[in-house]
Amino acid sequence: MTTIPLAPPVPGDDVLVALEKAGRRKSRRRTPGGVVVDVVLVVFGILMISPLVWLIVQSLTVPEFAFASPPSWLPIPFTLQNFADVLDYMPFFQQFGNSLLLAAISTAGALLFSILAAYAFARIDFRGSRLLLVIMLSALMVPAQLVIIPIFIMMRQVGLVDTLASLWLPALINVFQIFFLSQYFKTIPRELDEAARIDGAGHLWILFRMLVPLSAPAIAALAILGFEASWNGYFGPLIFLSSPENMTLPLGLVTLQNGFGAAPAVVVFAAITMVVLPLLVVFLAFQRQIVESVASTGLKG
Amino acid sequence: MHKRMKGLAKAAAVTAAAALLMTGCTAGGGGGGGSEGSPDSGDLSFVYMGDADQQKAFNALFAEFNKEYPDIKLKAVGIPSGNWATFSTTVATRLAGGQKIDIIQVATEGQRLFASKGILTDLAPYIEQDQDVVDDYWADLSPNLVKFNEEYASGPDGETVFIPGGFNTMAMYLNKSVFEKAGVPIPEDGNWTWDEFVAAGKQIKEKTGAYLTGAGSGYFVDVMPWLTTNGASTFNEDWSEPTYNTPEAVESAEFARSLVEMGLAPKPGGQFDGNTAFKQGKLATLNGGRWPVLGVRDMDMVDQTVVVNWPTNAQNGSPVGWDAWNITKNSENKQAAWTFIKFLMSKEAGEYFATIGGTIVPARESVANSEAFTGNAPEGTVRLSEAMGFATPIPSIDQGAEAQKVIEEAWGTIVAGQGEAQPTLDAAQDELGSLVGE
Amino acid sequence: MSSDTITARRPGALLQRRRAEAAGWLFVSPAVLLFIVFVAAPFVFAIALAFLEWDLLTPPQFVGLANFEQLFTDPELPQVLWNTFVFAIASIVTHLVFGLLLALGVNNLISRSIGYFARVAIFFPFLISWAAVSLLWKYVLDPTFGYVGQYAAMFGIELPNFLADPAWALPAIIFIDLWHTLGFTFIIMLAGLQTVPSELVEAARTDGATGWQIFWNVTLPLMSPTLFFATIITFIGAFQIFDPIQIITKGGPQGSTTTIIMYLYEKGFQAFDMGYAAAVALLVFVIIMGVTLLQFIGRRKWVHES
Repeated sequence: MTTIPLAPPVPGDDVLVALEKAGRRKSRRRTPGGVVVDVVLVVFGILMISPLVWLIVQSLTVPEFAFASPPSWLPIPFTLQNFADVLDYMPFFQQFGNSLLLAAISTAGALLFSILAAYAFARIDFRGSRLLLVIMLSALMVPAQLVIIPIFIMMRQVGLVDTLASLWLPALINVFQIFFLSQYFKTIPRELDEAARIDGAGHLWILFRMLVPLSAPAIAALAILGFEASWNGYFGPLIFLSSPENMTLPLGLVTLQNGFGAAPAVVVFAAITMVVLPLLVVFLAFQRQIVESVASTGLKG
Repeated sequence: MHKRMKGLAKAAAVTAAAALLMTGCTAGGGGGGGSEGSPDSGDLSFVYMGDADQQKAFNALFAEFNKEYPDIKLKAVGIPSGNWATFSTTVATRLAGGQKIDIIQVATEGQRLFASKGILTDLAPYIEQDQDVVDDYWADLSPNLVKFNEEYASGPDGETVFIPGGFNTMAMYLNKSVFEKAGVPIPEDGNWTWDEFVAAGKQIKEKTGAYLTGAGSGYFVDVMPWLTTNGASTFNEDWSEPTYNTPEAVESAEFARSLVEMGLAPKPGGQFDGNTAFKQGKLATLNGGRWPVLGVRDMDMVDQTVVVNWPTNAQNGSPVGWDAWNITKNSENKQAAWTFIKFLMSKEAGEYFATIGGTIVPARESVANSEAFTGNAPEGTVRLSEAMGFATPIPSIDQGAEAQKVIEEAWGTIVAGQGEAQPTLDAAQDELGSLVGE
Repeated sequence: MSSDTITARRPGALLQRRRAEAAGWLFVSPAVLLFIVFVAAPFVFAIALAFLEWDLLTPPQFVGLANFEQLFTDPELPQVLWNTFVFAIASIVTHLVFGLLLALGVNNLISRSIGYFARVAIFFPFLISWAAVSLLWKYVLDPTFGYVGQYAAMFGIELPNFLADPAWALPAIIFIDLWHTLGFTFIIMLAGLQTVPSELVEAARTDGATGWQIFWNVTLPLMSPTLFFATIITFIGAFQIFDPIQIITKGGPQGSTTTIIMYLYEKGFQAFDMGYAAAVALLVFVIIMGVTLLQFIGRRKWVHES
């Protein structure tokens, strides 16, 4: 669970417009000040990505020549061996699969239960609904670290410590999602429900055939961020998982560099690159959706 | 927005009220008494500390065992903790959580934690049952190992709860080509003093630019070697009182700091990868027990490496930590577990494990002196097992994790030049004192 | 207004009403069940735990208020809280200032390709896990291995030993955190800027206001809801900072980077003093609740709402 204050409505679409419109406003004159801004931004951007470039370059360099001083920004001499070596030190693909499975189950499960609950809160007037929502919302102030101790003890009692289930089970409840979706559902005119009901539609039809498709952008945003949070999570896995074959990638990476017989730096770098590069590809392909989901939910993942 | 605030305040009150009503969350205790089971069948769960690299060796060893006992199903769980204190706590929690664990392979740093909690079986009946096997094993061990196991790793009532396995001492792996390039001779008999070490380092730095050694603050790998070679340690002999601020200890810490000040060791802080630097000829020595051999082999540097003793100031010294095996009280297959321990004690298993990449010095001296251990390993590897003769068991009190943190923090502070040795060690001494309840 | 009040006047309304009740509870029941098991019950349990001494191995002991007494007399805690607040406040200031400047820059950008580059470079690190980021920076800041130290050495600059120096370790973590999460603040700021009507800016400009005056008198006040939101969310995130500290410094050197969650982790999951860890966690809860409530009070006072 993430603790977040309730976000002010942030126009996600507008951000994209702002990002896209850069360069289209030809009317603005190219002032000296404007050029300075351009140069500063470019320099800033280069500094921002320099650690990542350095990372990828070292991971592609023959170990004897990596981490040279003065720093080299080209992988010379080039090798892919470091990547092959990663598999000697960690079950990378197993951990990749674990991360994927964990993120998929957590995200899909949480969304399903959130959608159902949000529908009830937004569309059905049942006794106690307000009180229930308020109680649930107040839990947003409870830091994850407070409840993780009892959850750890609970999981231990039922023998789920060191399994992925110990991580995705608690992730199935996401109060923020429930609140966010119920607010979103409320923006959809209720007359649509009435019309559907006259045609004989039940709650499930109205929810899954009408409200869910109409809320696709919001659901997609929550899904992207939920997936990202689960994929990148470290605290939970650190507490619950201890066997390499059960670990998720973030924990596996850190383990790779810990302890006796730790992997050589180039291998650690290759492993990090194997995590970062696919992410970069995904980001470049789905920039719009990712940026929009952050802007529209105000969620830090 | 304002409405929501009132709602939240109300909610907090309601939640508190609901909290008072909710009950039923109790936590139970550990498992039952366990049972004997059959000596040659059943399921066994064996927990050890190891990363992926070491797990391969273990798995091969287990396969070997299963050839002989196909009906014992061995489930081995490697836990890649960064240190023994973390490993012990991780295993202890699992055990208390009712997980079935039959055998725990645990090193000195965690042995007391397990022994003191009363979760291990008294092994006397099993030893009696196979007295000849055990006698043969004891006879082949270094007398020191037998003594240490009895002194430091017995159960609360002095019962034998651990069978000692392999051990690690600390030595230095020298990069021959760096020494040759600098024209520095490698100590013939493997012995050198701190002064000779520094002199070698200065010449190496001048001629090749390479660093002499790393500057870490690991309890086993940095702190203890410098202490013991000056006749110091972190605790007294029975680990009842800390001795971290004796004049000798202070001298050791100041010496370790001076290596950084003279530019003979890289500045600590961040992530210095010794293996990479060693391979690149930018580091003259690697510190370690048996485990660096894996890296040396990976780097194809077996022939360009030689193992020598840690440099000395007062006397030869090294910490020693040893693995030990036990049977947990709630094991349901104690006989099968004993069968497996007997297998681990056998000469064949010891030799096999040494050849396939075990990261410890074999407990049996006959194995440690055999080709199984010294083959495909740097010249002088036998010095690791000889160091057992003068080694000090690494002091590991019941609050091992906290003690280790205090010890390493203080050492790190001094080595990084962030505090004077004497006051820093004085402060650490006080903290250690409060941990042992002074 | 609702469909139920309309149907209530019809015959069989009671039945309808009951069915709605049932449907409502049916739809929320999975969430409620999960909420009870994984939020409410653990919350209560955590409170109970704070009255126990329990290492998870031996049976728990009831110790009354001992854990809270320890909390108020713990000699390490003031330093831990100080570190945490310093980190949180520094994090807020740096994120807001850089995030706003970058958003203003990108908003006024002329070249489209520079905009694309800046956006990718600023935002992408935010998507990488803390684990990968922390490992990477541990090498980057190594005095021997990292390029920062290497360049400094080339130019003969004596840099502080960032991660080994108690005076510099926390600033280093603050910097790494800024690198990692600035993209988030940047996007939030950029979104906030879009809420500033361009007509107002244009009007001010035709009235002869300078760029600085426009920023100070028009843009900033209109941005206040965004700034406020970013402050709160950065605070709450920063207050719970853990991953980079556990991975990079383990709270050291000399406790200079031990923040409250790192401390909780040490007590609970390394020393296995579950009762005291729960007491520390309750303290975190109280602080976060306090700040969240302040948020709603402060909001009325400082935020310009249209």
